Amino acid sequence: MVIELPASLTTAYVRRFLRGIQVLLRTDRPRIVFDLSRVQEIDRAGTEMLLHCVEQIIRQDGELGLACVPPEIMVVLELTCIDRLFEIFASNSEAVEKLSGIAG
Amino acid sequence: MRVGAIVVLGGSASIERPSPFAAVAVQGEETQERLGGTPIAALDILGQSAVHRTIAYLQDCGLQPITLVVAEGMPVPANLSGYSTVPMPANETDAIWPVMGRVFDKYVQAGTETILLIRLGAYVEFDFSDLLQFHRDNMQPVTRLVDSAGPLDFWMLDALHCAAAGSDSLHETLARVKDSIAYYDQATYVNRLSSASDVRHLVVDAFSSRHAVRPSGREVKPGIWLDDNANVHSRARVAGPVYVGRDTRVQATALLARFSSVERSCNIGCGTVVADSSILANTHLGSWLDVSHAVIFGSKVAHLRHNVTVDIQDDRLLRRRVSVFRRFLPNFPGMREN
Repeated sequence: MVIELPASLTTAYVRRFLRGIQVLLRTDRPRIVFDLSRVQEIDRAGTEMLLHCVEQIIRQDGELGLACVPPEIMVVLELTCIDRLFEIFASNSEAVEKLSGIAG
Repeated sequence: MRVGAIVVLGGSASIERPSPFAAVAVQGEETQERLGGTPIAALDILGQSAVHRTIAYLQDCGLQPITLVVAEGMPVPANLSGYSTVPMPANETDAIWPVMGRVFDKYVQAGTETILLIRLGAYVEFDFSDLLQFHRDNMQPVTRLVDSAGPLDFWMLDALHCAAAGSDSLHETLARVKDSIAYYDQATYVNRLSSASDVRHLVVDAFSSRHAVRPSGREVKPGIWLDDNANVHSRARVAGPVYVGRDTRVQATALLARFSSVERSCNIGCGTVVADSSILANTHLGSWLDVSHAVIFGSKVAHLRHNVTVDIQDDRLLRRRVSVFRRFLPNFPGMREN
């Protein structure tokens, strides 16, 4: 499943977004791609949200990938070393293909 | 023969034609030749700015007088004497020319025969004696330095000849003699200092001994330079070549590597990795960060591989440091935040 993230991954918006995907994060073996193509800003709340999601998904024996990451956001992910926790794809289709292959 | 120098730093160079100065795009704070609103030539790189190194070299060559024309609010070289400064308004286009013209006229009246006019701009290494001889041999009123990328804002002027050109302004004088310019292409090193990428090139070239710049401070181990009062925790790791600036602190388990430079008054947090990067003065880097292929100035990261500059708003990640003195005594004489 591909989920498009909002333009602002900041304190003001993260909580609402998390509430919206809680059910998905609790499914069995979720395969989720976060599409970051619209993301323009991210703060600590946003990076912690990503960490929370990957933690939840791993607990459910799932996979989470990031796709279409803008270079400005990539700088922040690399600076905070979060990029190492995700597989990052150039496109949604590539991500879906890879994660579907993992699901067998 | 009396040779003087006028060095120009900051301000807005005219981009109207026919300005003999190379055009400088002005589009907000991050313009060509500037980082964080400050000319790159005024920023400390490996402990000293390009303007400091240039003036020091001109002094070593015996030039007198030397005048630094500097936009208001711009930093001037610390710990360097023997030159005078003349302010110019920071935000007025073309303010540069009348100010330079007045200095030029004073030099002529004082009997200075040859004037080296430099706009920083580029960091250039050249043999002054060779340039002077070239200028004399060509018997043109103006000699201009060039390299493979084009003309540089380094000019040698025959003072009397230019003064006799009969115009009221230096700008017009140079325009009038533009067909009588000799071009000198023997500079030994040129770095145009027009972007963060050029900052990294200057640092890497210095560590690789491709030019005369050497880091300030002491080389405590091969390839590792520590400046005065630099404090590197015993459990931090430094894999040279690396420079650590004056009054900078590197915390435990931090790692500095691969041609990195950390300028004065910085703090590198625990566990943070700095590789192939330059951290400019007065920057606080938080803990457990990974800085690679970047130039950091204040809260901004110029990432050279992703080719973007990002402003990080989270103070816990990185921020600009303000000195304690500055916070409490903003008008303390001699204190300058740069």
